[in-house]
Amino acid sequence: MKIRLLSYLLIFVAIAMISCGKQRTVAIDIPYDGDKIVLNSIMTNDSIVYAHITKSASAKASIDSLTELSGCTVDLYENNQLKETLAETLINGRRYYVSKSKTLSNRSYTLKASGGKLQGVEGTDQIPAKPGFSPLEFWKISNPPDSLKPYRMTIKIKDPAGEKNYYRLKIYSASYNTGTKRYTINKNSEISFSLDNFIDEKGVFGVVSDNLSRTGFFTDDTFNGQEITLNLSLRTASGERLYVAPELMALSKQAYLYFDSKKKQENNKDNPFSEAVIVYNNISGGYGIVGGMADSITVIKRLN
Amino acid sequence: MVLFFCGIIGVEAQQKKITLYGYVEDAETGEKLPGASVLILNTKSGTTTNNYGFFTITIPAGNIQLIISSIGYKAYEENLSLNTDQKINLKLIPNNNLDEVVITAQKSPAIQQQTQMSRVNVPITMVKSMPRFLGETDVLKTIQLLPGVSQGSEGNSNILVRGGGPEQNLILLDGTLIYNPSHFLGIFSTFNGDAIKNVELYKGGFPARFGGRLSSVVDLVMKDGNMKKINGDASIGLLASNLTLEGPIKKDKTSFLVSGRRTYLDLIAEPLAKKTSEGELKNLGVYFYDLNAKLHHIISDKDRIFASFFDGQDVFNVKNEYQTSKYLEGNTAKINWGNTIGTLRWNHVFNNRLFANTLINYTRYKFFSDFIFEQKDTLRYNLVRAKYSSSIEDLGARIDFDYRPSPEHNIKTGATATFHTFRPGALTFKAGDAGNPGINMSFTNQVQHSPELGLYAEDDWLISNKLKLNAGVHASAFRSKTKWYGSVQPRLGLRYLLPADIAFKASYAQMVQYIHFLTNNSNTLPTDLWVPSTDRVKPMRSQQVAIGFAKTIMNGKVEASIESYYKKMDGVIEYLDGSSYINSSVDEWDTKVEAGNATAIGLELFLQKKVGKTTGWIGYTLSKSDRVFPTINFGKKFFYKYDRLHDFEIVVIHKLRKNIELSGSWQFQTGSPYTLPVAQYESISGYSPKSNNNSTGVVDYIKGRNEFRLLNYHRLDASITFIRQRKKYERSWNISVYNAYNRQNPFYYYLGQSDEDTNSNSQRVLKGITLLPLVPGISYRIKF
Repeated sequence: MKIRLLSYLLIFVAIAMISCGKQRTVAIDIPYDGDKIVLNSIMTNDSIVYAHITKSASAKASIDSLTELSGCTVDLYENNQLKETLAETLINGRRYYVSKSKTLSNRSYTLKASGGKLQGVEGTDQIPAKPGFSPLEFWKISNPPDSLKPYRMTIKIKDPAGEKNYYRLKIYSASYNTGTKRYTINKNSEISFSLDNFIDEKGVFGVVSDNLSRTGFFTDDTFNGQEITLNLSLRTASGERLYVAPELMALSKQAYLYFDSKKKQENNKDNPFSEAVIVYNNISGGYGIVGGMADSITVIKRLN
Repeated sequence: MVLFFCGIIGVEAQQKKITLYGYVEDAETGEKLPGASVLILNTKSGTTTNNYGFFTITIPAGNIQLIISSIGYKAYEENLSLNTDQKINLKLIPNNNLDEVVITAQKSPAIQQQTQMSRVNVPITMVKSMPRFLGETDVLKTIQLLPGVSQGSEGNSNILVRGGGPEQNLILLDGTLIYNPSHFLGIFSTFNGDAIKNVELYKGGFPARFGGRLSSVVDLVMKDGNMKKINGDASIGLLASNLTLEGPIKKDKTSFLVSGRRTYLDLIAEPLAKKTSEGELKNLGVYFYDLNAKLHHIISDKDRIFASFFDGQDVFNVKNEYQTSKYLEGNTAKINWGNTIGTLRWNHVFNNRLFANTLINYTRYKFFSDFIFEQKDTLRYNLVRAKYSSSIEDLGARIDFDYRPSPEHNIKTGATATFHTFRPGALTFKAGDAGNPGINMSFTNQVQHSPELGLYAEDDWLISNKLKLNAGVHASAFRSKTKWYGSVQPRLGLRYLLPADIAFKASYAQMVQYIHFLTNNSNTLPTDLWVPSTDRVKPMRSQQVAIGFAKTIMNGKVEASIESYYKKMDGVIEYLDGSSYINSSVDEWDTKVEAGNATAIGLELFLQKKVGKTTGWIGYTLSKSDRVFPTINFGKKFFYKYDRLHDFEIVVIHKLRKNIELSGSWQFQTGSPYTLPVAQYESISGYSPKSNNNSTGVVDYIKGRNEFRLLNYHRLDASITFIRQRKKYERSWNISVYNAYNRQNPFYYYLGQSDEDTNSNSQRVLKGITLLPLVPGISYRIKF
C-alpha cells in the first residue's frame, strides 16, 4: 500500500513537471482615459505661431489613430488678453492653426483649443529673452584624433545672472554668394558635433543630444551669470566646409523639460534596464506642449 | 559607554541578592540554545539566553522555582535553594512528544515580558517543516511570509521590510555580514537550513548593537556542532544534494560541523546537451554550492572559541567549439559570483555578571565574468574578449559586553571597526587579431578603501513590574573618498503592562546606512554593485516609530500582537529618468541617481503558535510606502516599487501522526505598482512647419511613475513528509508543491503585442512572463 501510494505520488510529480516546464505569459489590457485633444506649439520670438492639433489614442492602438483635428477653434492670448483666433492652414500637407501676429520675448502666451465633442484644452508659456552668444573661431585641423571630426569651433555664451536658463544648440551648414554678397543658412542641413569641454551640474560631460548628435540641450547650472567659451568638434562633410551657422536657442523651462524628457523616452523605449520616462506635458485637459524659444543665429567663416 | 557602567552599579537591595548564571544547551548534542527562557517563577523575574546560550540573572537569595524552556524542548523545572552565586549549565531534552504541550502563561517566554518589539523568532524546525521549493528549505522565503515583510518579484528570495529596499537589510551569519544572500539570480537563499540553529528578524525597535542598515536585521546563528557524538544528515532532492556532518573531535571539549550543498542539474544536463550539440558543446557547468564549516573549542569554564567559514558560489560556464581541419570557431562564457565569509570568535565569562564576545571577521562578495569569441584559420586568428569583475570586501573586528549588574538592569555595550574595500568594476575589452588586437581597452574603476567605526551602549531597565525601558545609542562614522560621515543614533523601547496582562510597547530608532546598492527596478542581479557614499550622494538615514500591543492567548500557546509603524527615510536613491543601470559607468554612478525621501506607514497583525501538534502563524499587513525626489516624476510623490497595500499570509504545520507531517502556506499581496503608458499622442520636433526636418514622433503618455497596479499575487504551497524512525537513523520522504493551484504570477512585465505573429490587428498589451507555475518537488532525507 505504501509503495503504491509512493508510486502514485512519483507519477504525479513526473506529470506535473512535464506540464509546467515552459514559460508562459499573461496579457493585461492597458487602460485608456479616452480621446483628448493634443495641442503642440513651440513659439519662437519674433515669429508667427504654428499650432498643430491632433487627437490622442489608446496606448494599444496603432499610430494611424493619431489623426489631425480640423475645424477647431484655437485662440491666442498674450499676457491673458485675447490676441487673435488662429486660422486653419495646410503647410506641406499637414494642417496647422497659424497666427498673423508675432510673439515677442518676455511675454506670456496662452493657446486655448476646442473642437468637436472633446474637452477644450489650454497651455501657457513665456518666450524667453534672446540668448547672448557669439561664435569666435572656426577652423580645420590637419591630423584630428577622430578623422570623422576634423573641424573645430569655439563659441561664447553670456548667461544672464539670477535665473535658470535652458539652451539648445544646433549647427547648420551655410554658404556665401560672392555675387549677391549674401549668406545663406541651410536649415535643412544640420551638422553633427560634440561639445568637448562642457561640464554640467553633475560635473561630467553631459549634454542630452539626439542620436546623431545634431542637437544639444543643456542648462546654465555650472555657469549661471557667467560668460563661457564652448569648444566643439564638427563632423566632416562630402565637400569642404567653409561656412557654418551655429544657432543657440534659449528655451523656456517647459520647452526644455519637454524636449529633454521626449528624447530620453525615445532613447530608452525598449530598454529593459531603464525606467520608463515620463514626457513633460503642460496642456491642461489634454496632452502636448505649448513652449517658448528665442534664437540667435549667425554665420562664421573658416579661418584656414 | 562608560556612563552606563557607572551610575548604575551600587544599587543596594535590602534583601541579599545572588546571581544565577551559566549556559543552556541541548542535552543530546551539547548545542548551546539562544533565546531560551529562564524564569524564576516565585519572583516573577526572568531573562533569555544570548546568541551563545549564556544567561545571567540576579535574584533574591533563598528558595527559587526555576523554569527553563525553549521551543522544541521539554521545559526544565527545578526548585533550588541558593544563598551564594551559582553557576549552572542546564540541559534541555528535545521534545519528541506529539501530545499537545501545555505551557501556561506563567511559564511561557511571554511576548509581553519583553521590551523588544518588531522582532520575530522563527524556529529552525518550523523553517525545515515549511513546504520546499524543488526540495530545498529556504530561510529567507520563510521570512517573506511574516507580516511587514514582502518579496520583490515572483520566486525571488529578497526580503523587503516595512517599505525598505533589498539593500537595507543587515543579514548576519554568526555575526558576519553577507552582502548577497541568494543563489540562482535570487531564487534561492544561500543559507543551508541544516547548518542554522536560530533565526531572528528585527523589523524595528533596533537594539543599539545593530547598525549600518535602515530596515531590518536578520540574525542567523550557525550550529556549533554536536559535542557528544557524530551526527549526520543527508538529503537528495530534484535540485540539490545536502550533506551535514557534525560531532566531537574531543567529547565535550571540541566539536566540528561541516555542511555542504550542491546542485547537480548540470551533471545530468551536460551529457545530454553534448549529445544533441553534435560535438560542438565542450563544457557546460551550471550550478551553485554552499559550504559551511565550524569548529568550537571549550578552553575552560570561562572561555570558548569558535571558527566558522562559509563559501557559496554560483557558477555558469559554457564552451562551444566548431572545428574543421582548417577552421576553428569557438565561444566561451564564464560567470561566477558568490560570498565567502570567515569568523573567529572568543566568548569569555569574566564573572557571574559580565560576558564578552570578541570577534574578527572577513566577508567578500565577488562577481566575475569572461566572454570569449574566437575565429582561427590558417591566415588569421581573431579574438573578441570581455572580462569584468567587481567585489566588495570587509575586514572587521568587534567586541560586545553583556553586563547584568542588578536584576533591574541588563547592559550591553561594545565597539566595532570595519575596513571596507570597494572594487566596483574592472572591465577589459579586446577585439581584433589575437596577437595584436586593434581594440584593447581597460576601464578600471577606482578601488576605494573606507573604514567604518561604531560604538554602542544600551540598557534594558526594569523600572517597575509594569514598566520596562530599553534606552540605547549607536554612534558610527564612515570615511568616503574625501570626507568623514558620522552619526549618533538614539534607540528607545518601552513596555508597559496593562490590565489583563496586555503589554503596550513603543519604540523609536534612528538608523544610518553608508553604503548604497545600485540595482534595477524589480530584480537584484549578481552584477548589482555596493558603492560607498560620496560627496554627492550622502548616507541614507531613517527614523522609525512603532507602537503596539502584545499578549499570549489560548493558555499561552499563541502569541498575538498588533503593531503600527511610521518610518521616514532620507537620502534614498533612484536612477534618474533615462538612466540605464546596466550601462552606468561606475565612477560616475552618483551622477546617474538622485537622492530623495521615503515614507512608509503600516499596521501589522500577527498570531503565532509555536507549540503543539499544530503550529504556524497568521499575519496581515496594511501598509503604504512612497517616495519623492526633486526631479524624478517631476517632483511629485509616487508609490514605491515595492508598495503592497494588503499582505496576508497563513502558515500551518501539522503533525498528522507520528510519522506524517503536513504543512502549507498561502499568501496574498496586492499587485505591485508599475509605470505604464495609458495613451499615446503625436510629438513635436520644434522645427518650423516649412522645414524639411519637421518630423513628428509618438509619445507614450504616462500619468505618473508607478500609478498602475499589476496583478495581485497569491500562491499556495503544500507539502507532506513521511518519516520513518529506525533505531540508528531516521529517514523521510518529502513531497512539496510550490504554487499548488498553478496561479500565473508573472516575475517580469513588458509591453508587447497581443499576437506575436505578424498580425495587423495585434495591439499593445502589458505582458507578464511567468516562470514558476505548479512546481513539484521531492526529496529524500536520512539522519543518523
